[in-house]
Amino acid sequence: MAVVEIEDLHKTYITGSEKVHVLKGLNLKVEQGRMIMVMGPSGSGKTTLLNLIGGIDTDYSGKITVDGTDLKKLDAKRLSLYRREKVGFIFQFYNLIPTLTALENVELCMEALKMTKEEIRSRATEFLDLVGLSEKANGFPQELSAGEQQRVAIARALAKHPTIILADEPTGNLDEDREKNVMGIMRNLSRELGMTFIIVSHNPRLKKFVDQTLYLRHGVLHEKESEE
Amino acid sequence: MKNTTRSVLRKLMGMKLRTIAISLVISAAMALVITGYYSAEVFQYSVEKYFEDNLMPDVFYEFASPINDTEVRSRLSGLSDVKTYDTRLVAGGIYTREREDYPVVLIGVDDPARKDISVLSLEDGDFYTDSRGAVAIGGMESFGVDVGREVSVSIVGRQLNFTITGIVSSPEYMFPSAYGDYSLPIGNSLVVLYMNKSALQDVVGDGVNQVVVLLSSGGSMDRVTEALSGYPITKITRSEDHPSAVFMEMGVVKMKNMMPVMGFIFILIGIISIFMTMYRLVQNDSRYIGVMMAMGYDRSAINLAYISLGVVITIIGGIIGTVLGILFTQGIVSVSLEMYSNLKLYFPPAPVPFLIGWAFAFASVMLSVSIPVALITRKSVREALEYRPTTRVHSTRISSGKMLPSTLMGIRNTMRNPARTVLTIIVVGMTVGMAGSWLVMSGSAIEYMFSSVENEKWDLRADFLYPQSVTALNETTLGFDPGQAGDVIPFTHMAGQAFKGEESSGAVIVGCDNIKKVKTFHLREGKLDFSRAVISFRLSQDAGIHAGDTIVFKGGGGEIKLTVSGVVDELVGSIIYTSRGNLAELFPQEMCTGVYIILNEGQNENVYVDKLLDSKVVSKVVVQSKLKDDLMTLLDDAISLLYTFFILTLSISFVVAASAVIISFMERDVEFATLDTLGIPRPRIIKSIIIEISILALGSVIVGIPMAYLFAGILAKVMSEVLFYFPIHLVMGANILILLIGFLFIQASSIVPIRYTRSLDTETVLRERTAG
Repeated sequence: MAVVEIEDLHKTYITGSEKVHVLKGLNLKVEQGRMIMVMGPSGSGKTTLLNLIGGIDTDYSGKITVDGTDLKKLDAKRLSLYRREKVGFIFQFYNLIPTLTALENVELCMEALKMTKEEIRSRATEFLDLVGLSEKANGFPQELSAGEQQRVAIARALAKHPTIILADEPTGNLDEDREKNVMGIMRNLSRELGMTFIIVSHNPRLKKFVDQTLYLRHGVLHEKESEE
Repeated sequence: MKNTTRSVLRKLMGMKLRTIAISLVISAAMALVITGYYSAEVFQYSVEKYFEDNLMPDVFYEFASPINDTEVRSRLSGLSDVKTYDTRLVAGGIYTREREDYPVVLIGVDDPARKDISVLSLEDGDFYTDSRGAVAIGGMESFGVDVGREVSVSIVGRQLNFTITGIVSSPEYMFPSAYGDYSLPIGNSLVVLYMNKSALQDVVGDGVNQVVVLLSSGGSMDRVTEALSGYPITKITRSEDHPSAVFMEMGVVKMKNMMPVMGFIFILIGIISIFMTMYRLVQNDSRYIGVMMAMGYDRSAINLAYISLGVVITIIGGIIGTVLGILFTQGIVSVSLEMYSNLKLYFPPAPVPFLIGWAFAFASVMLSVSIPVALITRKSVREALEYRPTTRVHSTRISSGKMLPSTLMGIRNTMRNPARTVLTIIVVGMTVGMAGSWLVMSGSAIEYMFSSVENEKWDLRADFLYPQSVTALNETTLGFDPGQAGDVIPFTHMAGQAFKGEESSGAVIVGCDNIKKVKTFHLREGKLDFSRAVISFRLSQDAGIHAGDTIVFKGGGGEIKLTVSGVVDELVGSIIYTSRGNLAELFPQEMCTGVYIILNEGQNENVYVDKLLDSKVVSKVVVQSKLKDDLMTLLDDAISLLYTFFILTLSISFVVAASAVIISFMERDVEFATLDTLGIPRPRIIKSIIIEISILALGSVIVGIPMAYLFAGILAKVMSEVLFYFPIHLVMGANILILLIGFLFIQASSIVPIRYTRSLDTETVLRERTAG
């Protein structure tokens, strides 16, 4: 069953007096529990695609359906609820809240869900444990290494059991060893929890961790890397 | 324009919110500096213009008993020193309304519509045309003295009924509360009626007892006084010693002294606040400065670019500051003048206050821009390129307990940059302190005034219409047998001028042989020897008189020499206390102008008030137990003015707080965008902001309270030199108000980050600020 379905997606930016048609009728179907990666050169629209699926960017034409919900039909409040319940974001620079500890960062995303304080604490602890950071739960982001911060970000994205995880260059700021570690964790959690991952990256080394790699060229997705 | 300059200026255009915030801080501080200097100028100019336009007389002569009108006119008519004059009959009376008594001054004049001396300006209605009509000085309308109303006045035991035909203003009664004797703080509830002179003469008796003179150019007052020799002159008042002029001068001096002190404190606050803002702005540009250095631009070119930025911000802030300065000045002077009279405001062409304001704004901004630019350009190109403003977030480990992460975030955000938070709290605390100082001063002054009123040990004070013989104080003159009361102590009261060498000051002399029984004195220097003279601290300050000095008091056409034995704290005015015998050369010793009455325990003061008011010689009765109420009436307007200052200054706290927090919040755009991606509901983000600002506000008001006492102490010292002395007390009411209202004003600044986070475009922030 497809969790994410995108049909004829068009997105245009206006930069100064220039109109940039970045996505030109893009189609995509992602089955539940799959981990797919979108690759493409800078400016090809990878991040734009993630922002559209994540409901951050709402200015598009076409249809995006996530878990049966047509995003076009959601107002700002419902989009916020959609992100809160169904989407987990992972960013290149982790974007952790610096004034909250690792545990509190993970708890933050569940704060507004219908969960008791005890459930939130238990879930956050469980996911920090899953990413191997239970001992650093009370550390502030600036006290953690880059890899540890990204693992906290992964725990934060996954802890609320979202329908999809959107990861934008999740290893872009990590060295090769840490990259391997982080991607390994993401793959294992995807398998264990049956979560759907959409990762965008430049990095070809990540291909081996994902179920499928798609290439974004000229505003549409291709299964093959080259044009022939 | 150089490309570097153009680039920096375009950057400024791009950050409208921040530019507005910085400009507002500059404009607020500048407005206060301008207001500080300009309000005194406007106050003085407006009052002087009013005096000039309404032909305030140069000299006022008052006589102990009525003199012949025709005769005095013939003496003055031939004098070349006199441009014009008027002869009047002035009498005191009582106006009773709803069981409240108000002192009345009835002024009998031949023509109320005269345009050549002491012009009465009609504010409402018309001048009277018959003996039953009267015009009243404005300000007592709410007490029933209004156009078309019947007013009944008790005078020398008779009831006179008038119809008020018009409400007027007069340069002689601009400050009705100043009329009287200075020695008692009587409320602003004096009824002044101008009426037909012959109608008043029918009641009081023929003749006139006041002559007002407008001197011709180069005319001599001495020659006029000489022409009037032989008449029983009790008081000669020059226009500059007239209560209107004295109070105007006091207001001007008060403003000239106090407002610049306030302005100076704001300069300090402004410099710190502008520096904080501009420093951060330039620091954030460090990488760009590094790029310019790498491209070969020298320090002066880079400096010039940022100085241009400073110039633009100064111009924007300066224009707003100038407009605000004029508006603040108008507000403050209007409220100040309303305390006394409704005068039209005139704005003199005085460039100095504006030049000072602009110079201050320019210097503060230039300093705030140049220092961080210099710090960055001192580094090597590589260092400059790598230089990043300290954005390390300090995290405070506090026990989270059952607190939600969004709550914790708000609490910890307060101390994410401790140095900046502390500086912000101090700066905002200073502005709150400045605002609160008005309340502390007001509270301390009231408390001191009330305690001073308690120093008055008499129960009733009666002033006579005409001087009375001490030996003839009996049932006829007082309305009761003096033996019935505990004590009846006569006093003589005169206004004049006190001289010590060249130095002089307007003063009131009180001759009383048992003054210690009447009043408790607090000695400042010397000793309480009333057989010589004891003077008030204010007079000591004004004329530089101290214990042991010999002074000359001139009044009533004569002069006496007195040795000062001590200086005492006195609530209002410049007063000399001495024995009646010492006044003998000025005023017959067997006569007195009034009595203090001390009642026996259990005696009903109202009974004695009624008896005194029935007397034919009593013009005014003051009840000691009502002095506090009178004081509050007197202070009502002054308190409103201080509260206006309080709110006005708090609005600066709001601007300073808002500009400080917006800089801090703009650095956190990625955090807010991230919270949006997490789907954190907006109310929780707002809650976190409100918690953060609340802690900041609480810190600021806590710092603000001691600051308020510090500033109040400084301002009270200035006040003691120009108005009257009062010590600063701990005022609980003021503390609570500073805490609550100060908190609310600073808390209101959270609207700025709340709006900012609402307008934040998550997609753009993430794209631009977190792209790899």
